[in-house]
Amino acid sequence: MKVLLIGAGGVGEAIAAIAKKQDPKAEWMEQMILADYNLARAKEVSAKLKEPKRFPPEKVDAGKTKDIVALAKKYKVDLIMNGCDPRFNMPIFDAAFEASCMYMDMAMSLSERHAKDPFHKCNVKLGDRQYAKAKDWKKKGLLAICGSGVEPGMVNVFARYAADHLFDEIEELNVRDGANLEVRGYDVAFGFSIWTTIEECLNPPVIWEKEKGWYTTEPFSEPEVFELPEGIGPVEMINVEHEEVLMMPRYFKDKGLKRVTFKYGLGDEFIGVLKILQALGLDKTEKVKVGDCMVSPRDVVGVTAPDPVKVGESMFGKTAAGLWVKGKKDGLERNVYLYQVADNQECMKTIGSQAVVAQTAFTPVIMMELLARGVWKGSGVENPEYFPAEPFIERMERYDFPAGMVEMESEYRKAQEKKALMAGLSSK
Amino acid sequence: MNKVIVVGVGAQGSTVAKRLQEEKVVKEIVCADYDEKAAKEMEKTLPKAKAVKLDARKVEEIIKAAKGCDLVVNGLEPDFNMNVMKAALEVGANYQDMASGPVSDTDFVTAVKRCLDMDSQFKAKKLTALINTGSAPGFANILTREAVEMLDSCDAINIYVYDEIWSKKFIPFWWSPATAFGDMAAKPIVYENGKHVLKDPFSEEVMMDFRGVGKKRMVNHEHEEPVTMGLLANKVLKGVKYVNFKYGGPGLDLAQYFYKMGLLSEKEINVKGTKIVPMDIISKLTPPAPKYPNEIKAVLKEGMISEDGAFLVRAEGTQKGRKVTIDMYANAPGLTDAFKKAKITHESYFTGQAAFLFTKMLVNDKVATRGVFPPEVMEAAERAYYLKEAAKLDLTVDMEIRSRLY
Repeated sequence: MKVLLIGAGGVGEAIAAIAKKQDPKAEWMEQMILADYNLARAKEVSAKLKEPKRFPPEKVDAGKTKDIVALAKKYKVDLIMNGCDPRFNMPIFDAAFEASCMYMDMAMSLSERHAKDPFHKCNVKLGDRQYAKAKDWKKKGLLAICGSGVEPGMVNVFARYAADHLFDEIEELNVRDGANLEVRGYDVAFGFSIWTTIEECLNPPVIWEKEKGWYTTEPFSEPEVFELPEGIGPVEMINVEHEEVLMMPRYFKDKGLKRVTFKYGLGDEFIGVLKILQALGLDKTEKVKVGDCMVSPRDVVGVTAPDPVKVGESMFGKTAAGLWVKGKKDGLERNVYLYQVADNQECMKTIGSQAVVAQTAFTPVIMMELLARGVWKGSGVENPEYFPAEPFIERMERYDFPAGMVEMESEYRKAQEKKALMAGLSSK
Repeated sequence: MNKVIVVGVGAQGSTVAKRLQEEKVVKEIVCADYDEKAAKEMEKTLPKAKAVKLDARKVEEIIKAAKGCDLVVNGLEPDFNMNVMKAALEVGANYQDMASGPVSDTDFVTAVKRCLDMDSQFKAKKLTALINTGSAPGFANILTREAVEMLDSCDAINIYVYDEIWSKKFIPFWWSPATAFGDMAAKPIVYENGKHVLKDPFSEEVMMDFRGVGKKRMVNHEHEEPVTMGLLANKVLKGVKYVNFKYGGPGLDLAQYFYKMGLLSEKEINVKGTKIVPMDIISKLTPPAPKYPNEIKAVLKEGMISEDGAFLVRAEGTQKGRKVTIDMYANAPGLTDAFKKAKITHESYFTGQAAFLFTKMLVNDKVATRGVFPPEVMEAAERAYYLKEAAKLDLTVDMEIRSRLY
């Protein structure tokens, strides 16, 4: 398979590095073109990979569909992997359609808040613009996998796995993400694209409920302490706008689903920073006039804040991405947390990327492999929970990002534990 | 004394001009500003005022506007101090300003020194140039000298300003946001062991227990007092070896976040091909302090979260062989009271009125000292006159002297 990767930032670099590591003999990944607006950056990544023919650098403007189509045709690629922030989703998504390529991205098209009631009602939702074109893709026999990172992406696969293997009925799907990362030497650091972090955290969070459908709340709503595994411990989390809430109800409605949420552990200091950015309008993307020039305030923050690509080495601790599934098994109420925990220093050592970035990157590489090998297939605009979960979960182990599961407090667990206890008695 | 020019009619300058209207000896107030609208607004509302548009970057323009004036009040940012001082000297007028730094062309200590260096020129013309006249610096300098005078020897002077006037409407600073951020991001100067030492912004954090307010986080802050008091330590402050200024409040916490994120940098950055100074966009986006009565009224109507504050000058030294600490707490109204009293903000009330009292002394010939000097140099009688006048405006001072017997 030939892949055109648009965007050679932190995640882009990690995608290429993981693909190279997992497919050293180029059995399924023939070529990956590293295209970026900043050619020097693309060259830097290409040089690190030391296989210039397999990973050639190219310059591209991700906002220009035509240019992307031309590049896709030049290399005769099978798939366009979108590694940019979601502002560029539509031009890249449309380019893939035009060039008759498969398409993958890690976040869906952006939302637009409700003009009059932004903290209760949805307007344009995440992904609406892409889902609207699903019929065209289906008609053309082309496949787009939207939301193929870790969140959305891996957690959607977890949802499929839970539905197929762990539960008879699913009531709630709650993505829970948190970390105990500490960035030494920096007081305020973003571990991820600053633009995207601001977008996610300050947009009205979206929730899905069976009775109400999709609705929004004020930012930072419904704080809750969630216990994360593998030594991370309790983390306070708040609602955040995220794609999973828009995706999962489409696939699991018939499983008894009542509620879907996404909560993220930001930390007090970080919430403080975001509130201040918002108070001053520094989160805004519309350009403002400063002196003689026009500039987007959020872009300024993006330039001044420590570069997420560069803070990686100073970051210590672990990060967890996962899905808390509430439902029923054998008539008993059951609670499970399916997760992936990555250690930052470990990720820096093995693939040269920080944990959050590495987690986001390994998922699309597994999906590329599954597509290349014909294990995952289809047409239309789909999300990862559409496909069988088993080959993905199995590869997580092989890719050194193993999945984990916590059987949380529940009637089901109690029954299982009692059974185990009694088993001891009967064995005598 | 009958004609006064106020150069720069922003928050402080306009307060001075308004109060000058009530001074019988003053016949004409020239209100000069680069923003003609602001000057015209003064002309419209004050019978004695005459509006003039001027560009203070050009000394000739200031000289032209100040001709025939007896006093030049400088309400501009410190970058214009040298120009305005030169103009005052040229036209033979007394001079008053509110701050000495920071300035863009040199360091803070040099900026103060070059003002003080004009001392002999003003003396030769029998003129007075009173610098750093506001609340802090200004009122604080008078309190410092009062405290030091009570001591036989002085070891340390600490000035603390805590500002927690926090309204529901987001207004982080009640004076110019550009000045506020500039001061906060600058390296604070501490006078330590007889030398001016540069510290890191937001450094040497302490929890200060203020009378009636409680413990508050205070950090080093770039300000005039350690500079002038250090330079004048031997002359008027009994050879004090340590002077520091600390500031605290939610505005400071906010600025600290921006500082950590590199958003208070004055270095140009490239944002997708557009060259921009981060500090410029922060200053631009920060809502300015309300100035007009209807704006202040709207803020008060929306509600206040807190109206706390503390203004403390602490001098430590010896008195009759015993170690003594003298606390001087200045009392000034909060936003609600300041608006009730004078339809202005607390900041204009305290800083503007504190500045005006110096103006009042100058127009009524109550300052006998000649040359260039900050308020800590003023004579005992001059200081007493000032503090009595301040009390009439409800700017009062509570003093506490503490010492341990053995």
